Amino acid sequence: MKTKPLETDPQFLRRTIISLTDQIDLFETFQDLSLKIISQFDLENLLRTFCTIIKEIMNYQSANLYLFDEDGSKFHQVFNCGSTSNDKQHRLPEHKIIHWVMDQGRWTILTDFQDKNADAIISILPIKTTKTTEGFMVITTDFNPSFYNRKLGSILNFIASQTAIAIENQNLYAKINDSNVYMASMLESISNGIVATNIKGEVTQINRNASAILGITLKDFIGKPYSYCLKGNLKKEMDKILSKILEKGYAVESMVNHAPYSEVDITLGITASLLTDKNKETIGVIFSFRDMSASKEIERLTRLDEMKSEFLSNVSHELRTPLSVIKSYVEAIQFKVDPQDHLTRNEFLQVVNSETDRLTDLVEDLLDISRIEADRFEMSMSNFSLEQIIEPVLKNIGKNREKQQIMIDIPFDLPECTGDRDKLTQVFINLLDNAIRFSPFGGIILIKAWTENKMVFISVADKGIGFEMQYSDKIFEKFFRIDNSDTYEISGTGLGLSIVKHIVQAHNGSIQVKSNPGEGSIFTVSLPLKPKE
Amino acid sequence: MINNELKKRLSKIRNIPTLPIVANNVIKLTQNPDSTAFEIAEAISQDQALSTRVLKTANSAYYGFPRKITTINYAIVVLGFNNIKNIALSTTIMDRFSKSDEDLLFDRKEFWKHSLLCGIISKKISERMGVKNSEEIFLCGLLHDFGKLILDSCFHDEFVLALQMSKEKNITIKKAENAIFKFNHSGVGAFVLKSWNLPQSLVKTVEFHHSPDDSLKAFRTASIVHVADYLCRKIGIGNSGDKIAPSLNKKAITLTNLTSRDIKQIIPGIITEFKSSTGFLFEGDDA
Repeated sequence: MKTKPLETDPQFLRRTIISLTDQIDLFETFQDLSLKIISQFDLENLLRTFCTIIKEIMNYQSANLYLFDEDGSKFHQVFNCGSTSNDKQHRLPEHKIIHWVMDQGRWTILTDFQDKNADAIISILPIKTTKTTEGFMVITTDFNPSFYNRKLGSILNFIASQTAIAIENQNLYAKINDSNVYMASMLESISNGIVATNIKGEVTQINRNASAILGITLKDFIGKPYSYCLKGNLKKEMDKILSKILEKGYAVESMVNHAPYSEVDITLGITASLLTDKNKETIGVIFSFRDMSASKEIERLTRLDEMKSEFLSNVSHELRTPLSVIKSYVEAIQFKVDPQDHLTRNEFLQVVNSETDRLTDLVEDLLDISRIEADRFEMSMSNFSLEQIIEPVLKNIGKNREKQQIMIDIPFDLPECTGDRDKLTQVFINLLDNAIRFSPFGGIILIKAWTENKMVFISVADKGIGFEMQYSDKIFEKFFRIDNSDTYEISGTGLGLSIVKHIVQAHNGSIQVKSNPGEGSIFTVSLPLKPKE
Repeated sequence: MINNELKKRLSKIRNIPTLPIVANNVIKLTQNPDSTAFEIAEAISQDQALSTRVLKTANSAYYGFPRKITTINYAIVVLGFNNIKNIALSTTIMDRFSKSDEDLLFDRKEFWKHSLLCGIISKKISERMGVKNSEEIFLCGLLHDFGKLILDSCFHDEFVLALQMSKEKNITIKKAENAIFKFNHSGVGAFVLKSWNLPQSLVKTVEFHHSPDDSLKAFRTASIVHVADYLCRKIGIGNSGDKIAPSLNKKAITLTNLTSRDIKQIIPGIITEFKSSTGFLFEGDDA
């Protein structure tokens, strides 16, 4: 038989033209179908659509879809696209064959048409683009070799490559979604309040902590300028920070008091940094807000704790000193002093007496402070003149002073005061006691009184060691003592001035201090005069 | 390139090589989308020698299918219509022009080595570039110097003159051909392949493989083959008649996006692949 050239066969040529036209029509149809695949953003729907199209093209007995893992080495079945025969018959071709087909990148039939035992045709359709390999489909179809032509291959490869692109898009989309969720959960789990704005100050991102700290609702805020939701000094502070950071270009820190809800007043720490895009162009600002109240409270409690421990050691020292003096003098009287030596016994008993007084004062102070703490500081009011107070004070103090000289400058015509006489006496005892104690080298202590604006002023001035004015508020806090142990050894509990201030304030008065290290201090108490009847 | 001088000369020759009918029919069948594997298998089976060559090639390391392919039919469904068309065409041409010439200036065996390597490199480059149908590019690379075979068979004496001139004057064979024939192998190759009704892309690529940017249609494939041809000469396997590498077209190398570092990286693998996958083609000749 002599072979004839096909191009001289008009019938063949006509057939070719018709099939080429058919193929073009078919591709137009599948172009539309592939749009359907590409527009899917859900993997499950996407693969289902793919299976439906393949079913339409091939009318397979069964088809199974496999996807490769991310690193491309292993694959797993994700989809059984339906089968008409028993599913158990599905057999995965050898791995090396699968990998060979994946390398070739085109639909490949694995069944030899001339194999007498073959009752079905198995083929593999790779789902890959030129760059990525997504998976493949193992298709089992009826044994009908004449069905397999070049057109079928072109169409299957076309649909599969479109599907691969769609899967890749879907993966990218899922990745973007994941990273968005990740970023959002990161943003939410930051314990600070975070607000991001563009350079116009319009909010682009905000976390729940920010809405809690700032006292605003999330949905109000996004897309609007922050000034829309923030008021008062917080808004002013934000304006300041924003203009400063945009001008200077580096992170800015600030602190502001803010009341997010009525009766809640917190101190906000604000840190602002610039946000830039990939070209390092400024695209916005990120503000981080933290509630400083807690850290301030911790700071206060820590200080209080330190002061209490110091107080305990001071108090035990203050208690022990007179006790040991009393004990040794009593022992001396008991065993060493001649019972007939009345002079020495008397002298020693006086010492015991004064040390007992000191102890009593100290215990009194302690009781006072605990009464103040417990809010049970009661006063018994009466009218009296200032001399009535100063006199016993001087009497009480007189015996303690050695080098110091006390001068009094009190006018005789001072009007009467109203108050708790004993407690006011205690005020001046404490003040004068301090003046003496903190003037270890002596000097004049001046007590002065005058009236002004319906108030009487009494000042106690010494020429003692004085202190830095930065402590002028703190010295009135309980337990507080200026640490000058390296220069002077002066005992005390740190309670006196705290009690003084409390008593003065309970009388609607006030106390001020002026001091200079090495030059002395002036404490000035002001008390309201008794209203004229 | 296909100039009037060439047409005039070729039209006077009665024995312009024709594509054997079987190969021709295979190509025609693969051009019809509705052709089935059975029809193509039947066409190939008409030529026993071709059938044997197709099976041998299909089982070669070049294709590397993990199972043994025992029938033409199976070769067609496994390797696909494109590969089968290429195998049929290339083995037919190689058989048709394989006779070893006594003239050492144009050694057919060396010529085919050069052509095969060029085909393999072309395929590699196109795969790297993500071009589909890398099998087509393999054929373009394989047949890029096809014109030389025609010149050698139809105008043997003048072609030998050209080879000598190229050697003596140390000019490219293309220049020598132009001087002697007033046309060169790229035009001749394209002319004959066109007369065989082979795809336009193959014809244009062969025609412009020395000057890819002269053709808009075949710029991509011609550039790939051009670069592959250049690399073949650098590697030094095979010989296509002259030892002088034509200058490398800048636009072509830019298109392939290959740096000298990339080239250094891929060449060893290509040489190994060439040796392992094409050795079978030359077995008979060495014996």
